[in-house]
Amino acid sequence: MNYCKFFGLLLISLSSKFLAASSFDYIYPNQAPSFSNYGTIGLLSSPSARFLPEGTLAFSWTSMQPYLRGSIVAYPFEWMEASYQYADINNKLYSESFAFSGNQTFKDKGFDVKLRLLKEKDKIPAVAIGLRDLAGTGLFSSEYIVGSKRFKNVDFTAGLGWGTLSRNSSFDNPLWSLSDEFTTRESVEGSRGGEFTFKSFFSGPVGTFGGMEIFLPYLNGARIKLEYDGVDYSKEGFPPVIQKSRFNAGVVYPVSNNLHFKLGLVRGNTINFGFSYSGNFSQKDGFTPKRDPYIPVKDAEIVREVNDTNDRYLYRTALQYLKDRKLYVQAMSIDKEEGVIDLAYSQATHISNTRATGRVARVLDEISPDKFTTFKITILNANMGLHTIEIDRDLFHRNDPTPIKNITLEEESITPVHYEYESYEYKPITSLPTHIYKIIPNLRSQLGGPDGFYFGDLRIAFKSELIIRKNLSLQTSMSAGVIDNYGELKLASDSILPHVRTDIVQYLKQTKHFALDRLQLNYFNAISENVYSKISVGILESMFGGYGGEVLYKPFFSNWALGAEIWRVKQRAYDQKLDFLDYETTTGHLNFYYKEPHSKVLVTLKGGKFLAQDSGIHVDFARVFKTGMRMGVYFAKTDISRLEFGEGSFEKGWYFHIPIESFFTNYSRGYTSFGLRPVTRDGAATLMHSFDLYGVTDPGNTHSLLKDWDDLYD
Amino acid sequence: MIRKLALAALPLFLSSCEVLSSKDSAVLIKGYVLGYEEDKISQATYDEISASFANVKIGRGKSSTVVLAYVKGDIYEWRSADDVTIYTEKGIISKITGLKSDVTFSAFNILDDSLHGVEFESFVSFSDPMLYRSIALNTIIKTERQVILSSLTGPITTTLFTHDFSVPKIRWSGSNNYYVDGDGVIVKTEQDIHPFLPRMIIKYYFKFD
Repeated sequence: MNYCKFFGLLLISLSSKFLAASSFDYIYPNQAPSFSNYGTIGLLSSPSARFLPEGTLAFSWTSMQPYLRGSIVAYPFEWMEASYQYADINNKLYSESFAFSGNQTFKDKGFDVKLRLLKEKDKIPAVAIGLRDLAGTGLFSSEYIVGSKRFKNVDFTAGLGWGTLSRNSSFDNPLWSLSDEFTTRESVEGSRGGEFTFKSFFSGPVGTFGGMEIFLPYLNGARIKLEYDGVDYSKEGFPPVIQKSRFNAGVVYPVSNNLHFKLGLVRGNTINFGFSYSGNFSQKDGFTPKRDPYIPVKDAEIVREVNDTNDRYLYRTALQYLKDRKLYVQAMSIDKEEGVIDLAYSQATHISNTRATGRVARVLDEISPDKFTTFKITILNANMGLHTIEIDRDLFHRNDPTPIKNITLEEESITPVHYEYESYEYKPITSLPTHIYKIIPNLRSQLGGPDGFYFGDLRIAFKSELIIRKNLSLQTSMSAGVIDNYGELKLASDSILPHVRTDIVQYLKQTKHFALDRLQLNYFNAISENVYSKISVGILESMFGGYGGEVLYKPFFSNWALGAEIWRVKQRAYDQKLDFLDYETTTGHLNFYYKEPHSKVLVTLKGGKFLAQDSGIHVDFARVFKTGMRMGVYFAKTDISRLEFGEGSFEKGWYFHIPIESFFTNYSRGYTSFGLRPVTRDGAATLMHSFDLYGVTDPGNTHSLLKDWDDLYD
Repeated sequence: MIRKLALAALPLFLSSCEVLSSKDSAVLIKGYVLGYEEDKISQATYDEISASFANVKIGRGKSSTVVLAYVKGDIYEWRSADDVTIYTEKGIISKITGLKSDVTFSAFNILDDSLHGVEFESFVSFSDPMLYRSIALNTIIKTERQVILSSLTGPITTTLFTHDFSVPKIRWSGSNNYYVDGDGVIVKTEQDIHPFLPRMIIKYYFKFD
């Protein structure tokens, strides 16, 4: 009762009954929801029904003895939160065997998911359903339904919890009436981890939790959190964890909307603290606003007049002005009679081919005499034609800057192309072979093993591409170690399958000074308008070398593609130089790609024989954002048993591809990627050759092009 | 700071498929972590731009150039290549569009002696989030400080005017500096323009006959 009075008084004193709506955001800035001690959005121990915007990636770190928890949290959709976390549990050793894991404390991996059921409206709270630790060891396994409603500067949250969130079980599980299976909660003890324990979901006693987040005025968005704790500490982790009070309190201070610090008192006896950082990569200007506009041609009128006197001048100025904008003319034809300029170009600056083509059109528009009324622009990648866009100059000009598709350009103006270099009138001389290289730092990491939580090395990598012919190149990657902590890393493979991946410790340790990571010769060919092929030979990845190829059928106007690949490969020696081990195999897959247009999810199915000679299917779901950012999860099932697969039960993992341009004010076409496979095993392992055909050809697809249509005048 | 540290660590995660060269990334990351220096306007740049222009720097970001596009009485309209428009009235910013949030300020003449040393009211408006015509309390002081600024023609002596303001409704306050040359022309300003945006520094390069 005293608590109720306290909450009530606090509310009255802090609620802003007089705030004008217009000034609210200035008095309470940085209102992004904050993270709980369990690594997802919520109060202190309880989840809430709040979400960050889709396309957000976040990292949350919390100390709440006996747990240290680090989480990576992703929002692939506005209604979905998914997180992966490591918890360091200080009151238990990693194993009972000192020889195996020394003094290392217990580490637990967990996966949480939360889905929004209802969006908040004037009189309706936001409602979400979620599962904690749903595929781990089950130490923190719980499910919940939660609602959140905001009144002015106070955000209320209340929910029902199952599993470890059922501390305050004061009434029966309402699901008991549906089935007896909800009566008791099945223990996951003794499982190999990584399995979904569907039978235990929403079963057993149900408890309540709730609280509020009170935003404080004029304090940069700082807020107080008050909570009635629903966690049953006798059920989670490794008891005993003493709870002296069911009421938790804390404060969150946002340095910005992205960076939050927190401090709290939980269980009546434990101080918790931590921070979180989030960034949104789904918008072009989401993380860093772009300052890379199209630069108009200087003295364009004079250039246009000169070009009217000789077609060769037009060709040469197009070559020069496009090169200045990092757009490279590969071939060009000028048809004065028909008023058509036909140009093929390549570029490596813009993820959005629409923007690149728009800029080509703008240069042509600026420098071409008025008699030219049509621009036919073909974009190439690996010397394969991806598409041709036919632009009516008058329409392009008139609609600038209103990039409404089907007005500036009709869809039928975008066509697939079989690029024939010889058919063009002007062909710039390219001196081949040419060599492109770069030297970059690189980090290799190995997390969560019994020898220690983190092993890694910082390396200097040399990456190069020798372009021998326009469609033939040699890709090289080698690296030298600068600093590492592999000394204590010793875990040997316990796999009963061929050790195609689990000898990773040997590879890491024996390459700490030098590694030849890749030496891959690629030959690309567009067999017809919709059929592409690639043949590769050499050192194809860090653990395998060999030869093979890939064919892809990708109908230009469709959102699906079908491919096949086959490789004969031999396992590389652990020192990753030019020697090989005895193991060799043939691996190959039939690949099916489907882009679901509404959800923007790319589904990839790969069925066939894997590196360890097991057969099965690999499934990948990736949410693809307009910026090119990709959030993906995958799993694979093959014809090996869970026992043969080992810890984790089956292959699974997640990854992110973030466009590098997200971090900078200029456009660039690179990606930085990171991902995690909870356990490295041999089953369902695929060959990781570079330049897969789908990746090379997809940016030229009509769907990719129309997705970026608003970039046309960018 | 964390964001800067994260960016500093970014090269470690650059993967094999990126095209940004190490040299470029080092320059960009240095800019992010340490901030970008103000662009030095060379004589060649000055000659190249036919109209009056200004060099604008927001916080630690890259500086950019805005060119004087229109003059309507006392209102000067400056435009950048990336669609940012700055309106100045009697030398100080009265409106900005094209940034994260548009801003509008009541105009007043900082050289007007009657405004010096006394508190007077004006209005500010912001968009995104919206704040409509909130009262600002202003105090302008003509300091005795003479500040030497570099220019293409050599050092110029300016008088510093300071402008302290507060917007009580949102408890936002700031301090602006205006540098006025011997002809009474504001040649440089340092202004707080929005509670969520960093300070804006503008250096003007007038080309009047």
